Amino acid sequence: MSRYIAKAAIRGANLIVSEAEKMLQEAIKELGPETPVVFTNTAYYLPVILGFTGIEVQTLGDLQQVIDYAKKLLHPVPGDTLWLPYLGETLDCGVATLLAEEAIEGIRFARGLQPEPIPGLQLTGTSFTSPDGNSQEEEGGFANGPIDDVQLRAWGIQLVDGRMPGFAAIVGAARSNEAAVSIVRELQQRNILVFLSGNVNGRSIIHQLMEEGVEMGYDTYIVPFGTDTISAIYALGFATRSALTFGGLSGGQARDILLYNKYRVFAFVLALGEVDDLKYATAAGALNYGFPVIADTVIPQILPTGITQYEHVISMPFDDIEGETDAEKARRLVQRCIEVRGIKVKITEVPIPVPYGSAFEGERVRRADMRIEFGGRNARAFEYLRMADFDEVEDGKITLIGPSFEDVEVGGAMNLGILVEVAGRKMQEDFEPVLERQIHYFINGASGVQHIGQRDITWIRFSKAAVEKGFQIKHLGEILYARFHADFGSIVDKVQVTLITDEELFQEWLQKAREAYQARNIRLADMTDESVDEFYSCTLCQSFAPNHVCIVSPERLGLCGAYNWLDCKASYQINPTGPNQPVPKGICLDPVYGVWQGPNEFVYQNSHGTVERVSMYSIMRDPMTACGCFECIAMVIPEANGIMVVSREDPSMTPVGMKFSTLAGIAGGGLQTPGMMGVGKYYLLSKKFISAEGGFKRVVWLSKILKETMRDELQAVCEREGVPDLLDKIADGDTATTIEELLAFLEEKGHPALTMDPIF
Amino acid sequence: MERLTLYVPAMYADHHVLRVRQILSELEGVANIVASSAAKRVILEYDPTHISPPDIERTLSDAGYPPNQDLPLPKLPNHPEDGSAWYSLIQRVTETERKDLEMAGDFRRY
Repeated sequence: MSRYIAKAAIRGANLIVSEAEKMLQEAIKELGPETPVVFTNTAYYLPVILGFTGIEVQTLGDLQQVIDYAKKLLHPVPGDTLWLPYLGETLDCGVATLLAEEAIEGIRFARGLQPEPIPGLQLTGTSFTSPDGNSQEEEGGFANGPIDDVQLRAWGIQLVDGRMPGFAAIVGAARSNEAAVSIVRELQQRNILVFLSGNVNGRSIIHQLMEEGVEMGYDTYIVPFGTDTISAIYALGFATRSALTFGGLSGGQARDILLYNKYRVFAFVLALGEVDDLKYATAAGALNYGFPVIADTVIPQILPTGITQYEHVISMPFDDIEGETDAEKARRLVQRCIEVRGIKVKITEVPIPVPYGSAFEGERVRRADMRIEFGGRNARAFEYLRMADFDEVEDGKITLIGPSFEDVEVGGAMNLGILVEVAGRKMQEDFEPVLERQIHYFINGASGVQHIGQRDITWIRFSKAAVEKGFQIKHLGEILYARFHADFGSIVDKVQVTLITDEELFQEWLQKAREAYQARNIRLADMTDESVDEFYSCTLCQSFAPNHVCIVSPERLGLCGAYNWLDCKASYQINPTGPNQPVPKGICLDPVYGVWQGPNEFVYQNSHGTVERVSMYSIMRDPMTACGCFECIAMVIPEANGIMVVSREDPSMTPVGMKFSTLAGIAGGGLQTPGMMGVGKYYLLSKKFISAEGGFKRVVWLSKILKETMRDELQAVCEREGVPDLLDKIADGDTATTIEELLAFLEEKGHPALTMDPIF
Repeated sequence: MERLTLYVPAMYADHHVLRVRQILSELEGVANIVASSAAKRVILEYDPTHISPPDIERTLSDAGYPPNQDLPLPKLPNHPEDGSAWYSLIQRVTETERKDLEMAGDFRRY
């Protein structure tokens, strides 16, 4: 253990705890002890404090006990003469630092000083339907502040399936803007989440990226927390909540939360620029989680492994890194970080002239930055993937039939058809839509290229910057060829891509594609739970929620919304020992509740004996468990004799007096809770949606966002259920936020649930 | 312009750097401020016809950053009689627990 680091970290911890205490006393004096302390959109109060101590901080007054706790963890600064093994003291002081830092952020929230104002900073949002959509509505000018629970869950599936291997908490400022951009681009290309905070001489990496026009926000995996080290606490709050959300752990289980992070959350701290006492102290806090620290300046190192899996603290002075340019040096620095944390990165080399990686998936190409678009208002684009015979497909053949866009004016539009033909011994016609849906993710991975929609409502934009770097239509083919081989190599042996701009051929293939879409729709509609002999399991989330098992049937997709029965079937073909295993139905024990012997046995075995039975069609009796990635939560409202369905995109209050984030804490973690379950939103449309309790007619309250975005599909369900005006009889956040309001609304509208058999 | 270097122990973290830079940049005749929380030092240039070093130091002191004055560390309770966490809450172990071993491993193989 380095005495220098121990001394600095312990001194920093002592100072920040006493500063937090002083700030708290002043705040209580000015605002009163009852002033609320709330981080935005989270059910985990102040998550680091909750994780370590179990204290649910809600007011300024509650913070006093946190400070007292932190003080107990402090130690005297090591003397200059007597050398001791300081690791324990340093780690304790690290925890005290984290508690104090989160308390400070809580006080700042109470004073309205968070998220931090950063003039000129625009963050990209989370979801949108048009690239020009909400840009005008964004006010901007603020850092992100803590990540909300909705986003944490939305990233959940990517964190567990390895698409997002971990996160990097970057503190400080890079040597140059070039180095800053290069560092985040390298991390983005590896799909590693980037959290930004801290400054050096008043300048933060956030400023550097802003100057270089790098888009920041949830969509690009770059989240600016604030310009001081204290805001780095949000990164550790994110880590703590990962354990609470997906690991089924509770506040106060400090040791388990730390171990969970050590083994399951692949994160590291990258300190850019000088390291002061507080940065050492915060780094000591991060070490508790098993997160190593890498600095680009000369600092003492802690090389033996232990608390972290590899080295604890690494110094890699930027000037000493080999490389001709700052960008090259930055690349080597990132490589070292990945080595030290042992992050498993899976990337596919795609031979295109722009950077490529999942982190670019959320990038927008606004009209002003656009060179050309395919589809949208002024043109049409479609994508069609079909299976063909081996001799019809020439592997690697990429053809553009028709003109390129050189003659189209800047900002113009043209028609484009993307025809992907694949051949493979294990390929099946049923996999066509599964593979076709991947085109969206594959194309979006290119920096400066944006893909929205699917089938014949595809909409692709190329940015001016991408085209200047040499990006052409044929590169879409290169991307698809490389990615289909890399990701689906076990079912796809040959891939050929034809890009069609020739008008006559375009119309011809558009017609053929539409016929195929129609045929697929009919096939999917015919696919029922009765028509198959086996369901599929999904245990992908067991790396995060060890006892959770999803059983996916044709009429019930995975609760994350990302895996339906066909996806699982394809996934099993790709990886026969992977998380999607066939589950033979076996003897039917109860056709109404959807209980089969096969799924029961599978769930018992794979939940490690914690779940004995599972009903596929019931929320009341042995409902399916949930990990934490669910799109919606369905919950019984006994007073209304029905259920409510809350979307994870809905931050508003529900009639049961809890928001989604609070409900999610009860529903997740692989626990079986009768009356409550996590579901995928498309399960609402299934005939088997809680059919044991009466199906969709039981829904008495539905998040408005679901009502609006799925109106047509839900209307069809209402008609199928024999109550065409049912959707208008279902309350939402605008019409009812309490049980009383809900009951009055249901009575007034004559909701069918009120006259159905008792749900209990 | 003349150069001034100040030792500011209270500037031990980067949120203080932001504050110190803000205070100094509001002073007339002060330019090119470099504040380092690692070195706890501020280097700046000032125009002696507008402002003097004592004025700069006084401004900093008023804002809670007195130059050349060590920051007192909080008084800690005496171990172990106080029942502090070090002695009472945290169990120190020297062997790896079975639970930890079970959690290890290449669980992300898929």
